[in-house]
Amino acid sequence: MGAEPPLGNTLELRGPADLAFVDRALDALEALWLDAEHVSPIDQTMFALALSEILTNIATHGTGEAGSPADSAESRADSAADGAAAGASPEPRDVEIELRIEADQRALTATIRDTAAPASIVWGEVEMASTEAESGRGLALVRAALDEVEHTATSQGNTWRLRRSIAPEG
Amino acid sequence: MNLATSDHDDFSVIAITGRLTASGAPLLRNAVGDLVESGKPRIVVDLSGTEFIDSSGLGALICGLKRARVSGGDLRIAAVPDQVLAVLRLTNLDRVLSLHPTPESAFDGR
Repeated sequence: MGAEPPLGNTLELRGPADLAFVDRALDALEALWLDAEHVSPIDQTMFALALSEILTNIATHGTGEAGSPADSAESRADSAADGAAAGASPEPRDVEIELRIEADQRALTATIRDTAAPASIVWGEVEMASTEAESGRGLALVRAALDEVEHTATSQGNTWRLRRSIAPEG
Repeated sequence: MNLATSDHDDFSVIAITGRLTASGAPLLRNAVGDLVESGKPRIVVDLSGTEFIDSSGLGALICGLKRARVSGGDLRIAAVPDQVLAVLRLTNLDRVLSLHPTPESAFDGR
């Protein structure tokens, strides 16, 4: 067991913060799983879930895009319900995301750096939305799907570190 | 994500293949809206080909459920794969969305 060479499958991706980037990241993650057979389906699903939620949050809330009136109202409602709010940026900004994922024998980790306005997240207020709600589940799912999640913000942007331990086989 | 709508005797089926996330969720909302507006609020979402779902996809399902019920119908889900069921359970939505083994059996009895 201990003689096995360490598996270090990594993935790196960068690009503009939009929903196409989220899709690219999930595509790349699916490709990574092909080389990481030691990762169980449930670990794959939960890690992809957390990644999708964080990246979607950055793409939809981090850019400060006004969008249509209906969209922006929904975005604000989503943020409030999630306990998250993008820093109040009066002007849309071009946000970039840098993503690095590593799958070793013990854990799946992701580091996401964005250039968005600092997000303000009060983890203590993050709760799973009621079953009738159409939004507000994102950050609660992130916490449920991971063993560790860390967010730090500076005026340059946000860094998100996600970690899910891998269940031992059998 | 791909989406295909088909009409059956007294219900319609929306089949979703691929990942149901923020990029595809509006398609599901629109498909449900189109059915409801054309007087077909009895809807089954066939998830047999759905590889992944996140909170945006869940939101679209709940939105569809409300729209269908307001119009006197219902939205039920069928053939739910394990990876989708795991997310439904995390959010307790497996108690709200009616799960059925197949699209054909979703409206059996009612």
